[in-house]
Amino acid sequence: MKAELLEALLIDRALGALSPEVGELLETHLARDPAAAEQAAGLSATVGLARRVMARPEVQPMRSPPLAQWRKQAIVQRRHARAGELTRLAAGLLLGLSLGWYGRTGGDGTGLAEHPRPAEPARLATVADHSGPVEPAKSFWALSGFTAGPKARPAAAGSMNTRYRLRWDSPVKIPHVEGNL
Amino acid sequence: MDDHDSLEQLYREAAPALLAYFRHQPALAGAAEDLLQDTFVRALKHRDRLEAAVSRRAYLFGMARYVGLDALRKAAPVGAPAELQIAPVAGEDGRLESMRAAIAELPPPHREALLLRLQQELSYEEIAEVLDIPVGTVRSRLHHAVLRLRQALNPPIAYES
Repeated sequence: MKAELLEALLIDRALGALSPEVGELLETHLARDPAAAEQAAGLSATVGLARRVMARPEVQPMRSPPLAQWRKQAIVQRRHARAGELTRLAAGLLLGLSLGWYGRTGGDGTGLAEHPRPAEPARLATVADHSGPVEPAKSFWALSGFTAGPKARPAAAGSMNTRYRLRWDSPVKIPHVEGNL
Repeated sequence: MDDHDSLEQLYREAAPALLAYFRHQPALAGAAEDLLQDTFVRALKHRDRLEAAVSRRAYLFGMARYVGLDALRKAAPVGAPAELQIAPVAGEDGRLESMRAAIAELPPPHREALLLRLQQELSYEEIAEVLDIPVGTVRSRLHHAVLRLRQALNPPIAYES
């Protein structure tokens, strides 16, 4: 048996904290090992002396304690503790409400502050188109030809109510414009 | 057995040990009865925990420890450490006096564990519950305490060369 383990077991034995089974095995070992038995006796003597010094003084508490009174006292204390918890909770709520009110009024105490104007919606960024060469404005496929209103188009046959229609018979053929509909 | 009887039985079982625990500490001895009452009132305040405790005795000792430490803290000047003390035993011989001195020299946590074991006969598990520490720590503290006491009473002989 290792010395450290033996010493730990001997201290537990001296303190009276060994289980019966382990105690039996240890006694068997001590019967065969005189040095260990001597060590065990020394530790037991030390603990015995400490036990005498720490012996419980003979004291008698009151025979009939006012247990009912103590119980009432405990109930009162518990109520006080609960009231304290509720007070803390109420204080926390009040503080939260105050802070909320303060934040809402802006701290001037005059009532509700003006609502901030809603931010302007973000505008779409315009991105310059550098994808290709600039298309001539007067070409057949010019975008202006499709998007411009009737006023922007050249007057056909001198009428202001002239309408144009792009006729595209087939995707493989060139579309042609029908006017004066 | 009704509630009152159960409480009275608990008092009969635990009160003498608790009172001795307080009386054994000089700083608390004068107020031992009040501290005992305070311990029971606090235990009754948390009756559900007392009933649910693995060892009601250990739970009461844990409560008594807090009550004692509170009282010491209130009594001690600010900054002074509150710790348990061992009262001198009347009519003690030289070896007992040496042992008393050696116990007084122990670190407070070790001394406290030893007191609960030797005076109150609490098991390692109960001491762990009272002090709110693992059982292994209780064992370690007790072992160190016993070895230090043995060393103090039987100092190693110095051989001159």
